[in-house]
Amino acid sequence: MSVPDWVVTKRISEVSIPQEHFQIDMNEWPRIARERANKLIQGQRWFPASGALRANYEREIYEEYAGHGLLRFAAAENSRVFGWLIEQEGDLFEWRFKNAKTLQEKIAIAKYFFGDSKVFEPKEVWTKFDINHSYFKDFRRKNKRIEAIGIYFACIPKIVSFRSLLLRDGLIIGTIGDFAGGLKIAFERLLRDRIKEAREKMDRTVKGAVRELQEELGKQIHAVSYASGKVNIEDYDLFNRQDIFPQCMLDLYNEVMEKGHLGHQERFQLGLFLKRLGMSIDEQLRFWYERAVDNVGITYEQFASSTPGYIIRHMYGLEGGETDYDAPSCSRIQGEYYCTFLHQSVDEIDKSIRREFKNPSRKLEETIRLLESKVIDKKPSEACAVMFSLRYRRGAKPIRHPIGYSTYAARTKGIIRKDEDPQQTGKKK
Amino acid sequence: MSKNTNSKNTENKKLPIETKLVQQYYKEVFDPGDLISIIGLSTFYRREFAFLLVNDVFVRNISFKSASDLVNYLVRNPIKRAYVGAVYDVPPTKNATIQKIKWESREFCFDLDLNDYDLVRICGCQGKEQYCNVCWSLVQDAATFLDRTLREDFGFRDIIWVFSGRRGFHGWVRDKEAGILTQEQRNSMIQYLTLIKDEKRTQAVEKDLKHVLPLRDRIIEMVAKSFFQKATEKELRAEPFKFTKKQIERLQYNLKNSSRPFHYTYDSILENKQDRDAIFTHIITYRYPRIDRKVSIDIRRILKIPGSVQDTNGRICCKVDIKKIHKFFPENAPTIWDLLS
Repeated sequence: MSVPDWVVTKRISEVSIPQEHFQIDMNEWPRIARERANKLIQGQRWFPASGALRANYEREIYEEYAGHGLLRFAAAENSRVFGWLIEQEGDLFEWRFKNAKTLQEKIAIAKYFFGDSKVFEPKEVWTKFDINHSYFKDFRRKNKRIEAIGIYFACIPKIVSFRSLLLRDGLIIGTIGDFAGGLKIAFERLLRDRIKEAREKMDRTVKGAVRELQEELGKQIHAVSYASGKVNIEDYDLFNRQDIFPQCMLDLYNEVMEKGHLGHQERFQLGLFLKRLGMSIDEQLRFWYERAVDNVGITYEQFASSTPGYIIRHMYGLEGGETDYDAPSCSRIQGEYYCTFLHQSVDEIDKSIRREFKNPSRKLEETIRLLESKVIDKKPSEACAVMFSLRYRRGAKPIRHPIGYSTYAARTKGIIRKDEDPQQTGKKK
Repeated sequence: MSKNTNSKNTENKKLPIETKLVQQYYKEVFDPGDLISIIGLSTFYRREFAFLLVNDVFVRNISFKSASDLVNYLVRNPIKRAYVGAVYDVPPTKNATIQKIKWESREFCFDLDLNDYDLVRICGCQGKEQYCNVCWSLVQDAATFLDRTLREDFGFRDIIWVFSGRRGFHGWVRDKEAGILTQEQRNSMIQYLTLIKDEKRTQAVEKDLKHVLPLRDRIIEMVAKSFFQKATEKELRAEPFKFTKKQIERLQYNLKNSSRPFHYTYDSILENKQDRDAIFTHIITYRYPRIDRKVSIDIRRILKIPGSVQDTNGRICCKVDIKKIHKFFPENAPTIWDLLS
């Protein structure tokens, strides 16, 4: 079975409708792209031409690719649109995958992202493994057995790290639904590559329309974040408020303050976080110049024009690939950067908590123990949420993003209010 | 040291080995075929080699067109230690350093070293120089456990074990798929295999293995069984076991006579009153493999050349058959003096 056409990372040549549909038509494409963008902004979820006649199907698939294609060009030109598009298309893909009609369709998608030889269908899984073995006890229920697939372990390293599914003979074995998150990551990774390709391939005929579209979209995304009640935290100078930093950023910040040095990855992690909390490029340059010990003996101008300055400008999308990087999410931090609750020992965490909470009450002591048990069980996002409740006396869901943590902390402390319009409060910008 | 005693052993031949002797070894005895049997021939010329010279200068970014060029280099230079690294798209050189050229592959490697067990070596041995057959069994067990896990859980087939020259073993997973694993993928495997967090300090143990029953069962079958085989009655009566005399007798009887998998014994002997979590944690802490993460994760890492000489004791980093690893002790490795005599 071939991959459904709604997987928009497919190349045009792989789509099942006649190729002549895909001639660039700049009278029509900008309108189609705007419609798709609006749907995404509104959080709509849909399948193209679900249950429709073939004639409609071709039209809708054409619009799917025309709209998405032009948005890709816009994303290639505008870093804000880039991040937004990957997130939105990623969410839409995940919804479509979960709601795909047949198991075969889902398996075809898994094979498309990971390769035919890396994905084992239910029949192959049960030819290879003995379902009567105690390890497969859970799969004896019919619905689990017929949806069980095996995926080569290296395709989804995160599942291996967290030991969240059975691993046998190089295959991660679970139901197709267990792999939705891993497939979304693969989709987003491929989309990133496709957008980079679009940057190189952009045709002169589309440039004008793309510029218009990306400017319009950039503003629209910004406006929607207000309308949806999301506060633009960049306007609050929260980078000066270490009391709302998650523990990982606090550790890195303190390290810079005390020792004047951080490893490259960690500098990037903290730098992007501070940027997202509203630190301007000049403030960031000044911050690292004043705090880092390896700047001794050089002037600010020398610093700003040398490698460290380049790296900081790179973070703001002013150098290199000109990507306006967002702060990494917790899952990325846990895999590539520094997470207190994953990379610090329980002992160190315990000491640090007890420095902050001296003579804890019995209830507080229980919470501290709960936090430590989450650390031991390798559940850093849950541990971070417990840390949040310790600090702000308010429950929190497992933390997924350091900015989310800081926003919630700032709201809890009354620094920002959900109904507050930052543009009218005379805050920065 | 005799392998049947528990006395501590430190190597006697600590005097620096003469450079001429080392060069003679590489000229007359060293067989590059052994190395090629591990790293392969087709990419040999694009491999990075590195050397620690006798003046403690470390040289990296070296490659050789052929195995005989490598031997010539070893013979002509004052080598203290010889290392081999990854394969790149072009041969690494001083100008084309490994940072500038494209990484292509490197075997998935493991470093098991007795040092990493210092906090739990109940025999009293410490550091790189001491070992006895009590603590040596920790790395023997670790190698067999990892070998089986890599085969059964990760599906690898081609794994070679090499005596590291001093206090442990190096594992080389040679399967083609293993060579091209990224750092992220290698890291995930090490996370999967690591149950002791912060091994040199708190040694916190992860116990949640409900989704990976094969790993949990293997721990009972190999690690726990080995623990109980070696435990004294006094240990079994103390925390966290608090075994009764009857339990100890049953355990010892089953260890000697039962042909059934050990988890039957493990599950039947532990009673409700006993804290299973604490017992499992104790066993993991004292006997579970401790892996040097960096060696396995870093794709540009170098590792001692199998067949090379360990400068501190003159022993050869020789291949070890995993099926006979429990019969292998450091003193079984040939020395440069044996081989040249």
